[in-house]
Amino acid sequence: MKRILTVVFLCILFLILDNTLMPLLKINGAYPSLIFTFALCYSIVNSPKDAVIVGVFTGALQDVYFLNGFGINMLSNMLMCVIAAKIGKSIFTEKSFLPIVSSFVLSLVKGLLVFSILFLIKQYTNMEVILYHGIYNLVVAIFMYRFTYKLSQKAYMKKEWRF
Amino acid sequence: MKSVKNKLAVVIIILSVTFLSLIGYSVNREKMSFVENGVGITVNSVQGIFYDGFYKIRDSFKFITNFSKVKAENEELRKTNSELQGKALEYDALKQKNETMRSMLNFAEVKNQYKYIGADIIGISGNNFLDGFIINKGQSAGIKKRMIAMTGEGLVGQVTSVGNNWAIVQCLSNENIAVAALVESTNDNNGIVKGYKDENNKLLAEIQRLSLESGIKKGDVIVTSGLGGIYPAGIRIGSVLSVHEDKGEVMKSAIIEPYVDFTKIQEVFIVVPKEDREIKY
Repeated sequence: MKRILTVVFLCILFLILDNTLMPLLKINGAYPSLIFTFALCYSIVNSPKDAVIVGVFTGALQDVYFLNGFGINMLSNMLMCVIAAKIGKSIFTEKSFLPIVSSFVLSLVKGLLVFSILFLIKQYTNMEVILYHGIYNLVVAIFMYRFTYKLSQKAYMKKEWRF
Repeated sequence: MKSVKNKLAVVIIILSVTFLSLIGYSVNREKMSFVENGVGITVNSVQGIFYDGFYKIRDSFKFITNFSKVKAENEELRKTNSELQGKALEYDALKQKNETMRSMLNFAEVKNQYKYIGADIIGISGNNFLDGFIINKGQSAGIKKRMIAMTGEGLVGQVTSVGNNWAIVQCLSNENIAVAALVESTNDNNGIVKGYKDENNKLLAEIQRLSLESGIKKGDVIVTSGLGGIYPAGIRIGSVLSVHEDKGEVMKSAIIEPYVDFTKIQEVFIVVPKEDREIKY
C-alpha cells in the first residue's frame, strides 16, 4: 500500500513540476519531462507488469494536460516503459550508465511516436525539439536514476502489487 | 513462465488498440470527460500555487541579473509614456468625434458583440510538443472550444480543450491555428496567419496567401480581419520582420514577430461572442 501511494504521490508531484517549473528552464525551446524520466527509470528497476501500470498511469496524467485527444501519452508511455523493463532485465541495474543511455534513446523514440500520432490526427509539430528534449531528459535521468534506484532498494518498495 | 509472458503481450496489445481508438474518438469532442475534468480540478488547485511561486522567483531572479537593463528599460518606458500621454489626449478628442459621427450614421458598434473574460495562467501544457497554457476559467464562465485568447498586447491563441473551471489554450505559435489577418498599411485582407518557428526555435508567426501585388513591407502591423466571424476584427497580432515571394504558388508571405511574448504572459482574456451562435472553422 505504501508503495502504491509513494509512486502515485511522486507521479503527481513530477507532473506539477513539469507543468510549472520546467518550462521556466527552457533551453532552445525544449524542456525536460520529469514524469516521463521517472516512469522510465522506475520501469528499468521493476518488472514488466509494474512498467505497464506505471506507463499507463503517468501517460493518463500527462494526457489530462496535453490536448483534446486523450490517450496519446498513455499509449507511448506504456510501450516505452515495457521496453525499458525488458532492457532492465538484461543489464546490471546497479550500474547507471546503460539505464541513462536507454532513457535517452527511449525519449527519442517516444518523441517520434507522439510526432507521428499527432501527424495522423492533423496536429503539426516541430520535429527538432524532440532531439533537444531527449538530451535534456538524459541530463535529468542521471539524477533521476540514482534516486529511483535508491528508492526501489527500500524495504517497503519491494512488495508485490496486490491486485 | 511462458504463459505469463504471453499474457503480458496480450494485455499490451489490447491496451494499445484501446488507446488508439480512444485517441480517434476523443480528438473531435467538444468537452473533456468528467474524469479528466475532476483530475484537472484537483491537480490545478495545487498547481496554480506552484506556478505563481516559481514565476515570482524567476522574475525576481531576472530583475537582479538584469538590473542595468531594467534601468535602461525604465528610462525608455518613461519616454514612451510621455509620448503616449500626448497621443491619449488626441485619442480622446478623436473618439468623441468618432462617436458623434457614428451616431449620425447609425453605425452598429462592432466591439460590443463580444465580452471579455479575464483568466489567470496556472501552468504550461503540451510537454514540449505543443505550446499551450492551462487557464483557471472554463465552461462555467461561458468559455467554449475554439474561442480565442488575447492580452492587451495582442492575440495569444485559441481554446482547444475545456473543463468545468479550467481550459487549455493553444498558442498562435503552433502551426495548427489559422487566423484571418489584415495588413494595416495596405488593407490586404486575404492573409492567413499561422505559427512559425525559426532555426533558433524562436516562436514567430507567418502570414501567407497574400497576393503578389500586395505592398506589404518590413515593419507593417498585422491585425485580425474578423473575416469568418470567429475572431473579432482589429486585434493586433504582430509586426512584419521579413517578406518573401513565392512565384510558384503565386503568393507573398511574411514572417511576423508577435507582440505577445509567449514566455512572459501571466493572464489572458478570452473573447466570448455575445450572440450565442455555433463557432466553427
